Amino acid sequence: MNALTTLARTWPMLSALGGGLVLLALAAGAGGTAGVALAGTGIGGLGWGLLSLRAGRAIAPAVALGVGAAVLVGAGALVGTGLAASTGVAVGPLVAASAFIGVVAVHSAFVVRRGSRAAARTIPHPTRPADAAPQPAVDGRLSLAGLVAGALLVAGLATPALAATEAGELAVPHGEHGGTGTSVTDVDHGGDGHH
Amino acid sequence: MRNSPNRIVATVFGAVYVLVGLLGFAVTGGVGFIATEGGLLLGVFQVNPLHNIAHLLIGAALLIAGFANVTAAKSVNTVVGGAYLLLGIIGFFLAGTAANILALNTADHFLHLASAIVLLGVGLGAERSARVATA
Repeated sequence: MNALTTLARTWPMLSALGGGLVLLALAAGAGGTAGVALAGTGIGGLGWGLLSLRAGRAIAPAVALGVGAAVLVGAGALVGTGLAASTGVAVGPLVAASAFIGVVAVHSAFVVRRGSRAAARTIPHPTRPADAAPQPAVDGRLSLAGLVAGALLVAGLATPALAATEAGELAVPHGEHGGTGTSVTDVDHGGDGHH
Repeated sequence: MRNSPNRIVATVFGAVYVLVGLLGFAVTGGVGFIATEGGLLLGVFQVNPLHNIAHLLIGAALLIAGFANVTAAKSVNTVVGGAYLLLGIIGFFLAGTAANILALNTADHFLHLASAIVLLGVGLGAERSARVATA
């Protein structure tokens, strides 16, 4: 395993966490069928990221690839047909979520392809190498540095994407209203959208 | 400790959060305990006294766990990381309501999200055999 692979080992999982968060934020503002679909995909993304981190490898890569491809096609269709605007889905965050999901899909495709080749070589007793000797996702200083770098990258893209969702625009930003010391019991503070 | 990613992360993050919690009180004089308006820490991050106390408690928990052992560090990293992520998600659905006391500025969100990912990543992804490790 070369240094770059070690450094970026956790990035698909972190990308799934970022994508899941943005999709959930989009779901909070969308509502209806689109909201349910976005929430389901977001929860799936978060779950896949957490379980894969725990397992030290991409779990269910074929399923992740299929769902990831479906999300990318769906997002493209939403933007391309103009449905995104009518369903209350912000285009910018949707593009950011698609980028996150795209990383997961590409990584899953790579894992599926590698698994197929390994299985073909080991007939009649195929065993996937990923299952044979799973490594921790973070094992050593290089992968730890990769985790920190990946977290900064994901947060760097996810934070502005989250702020651009309807939920993010409604959120009450500290320090951007008038008057110091305003109590949170003052309910007249929503919806100014400063971020 | 040098060979344990969980202990390194818990100690470093713990020290930073304790420092941030202490420095926060320097910019929140006269600010209400749970005020939606706070002082600017380092000119970027908005904090109020409750926020400072949360930073101090989280930092202390991480620091103690980091100095203790791998199992404690792994547990606290996972719990704190998961809590940050969960609170972030809940925050989206509380947006625009009076209960939205978690709403922060963009710099806060960035720091919290990055912290959540690192803590959760190292807690879940490193040292899966921590229960038998003695690092």
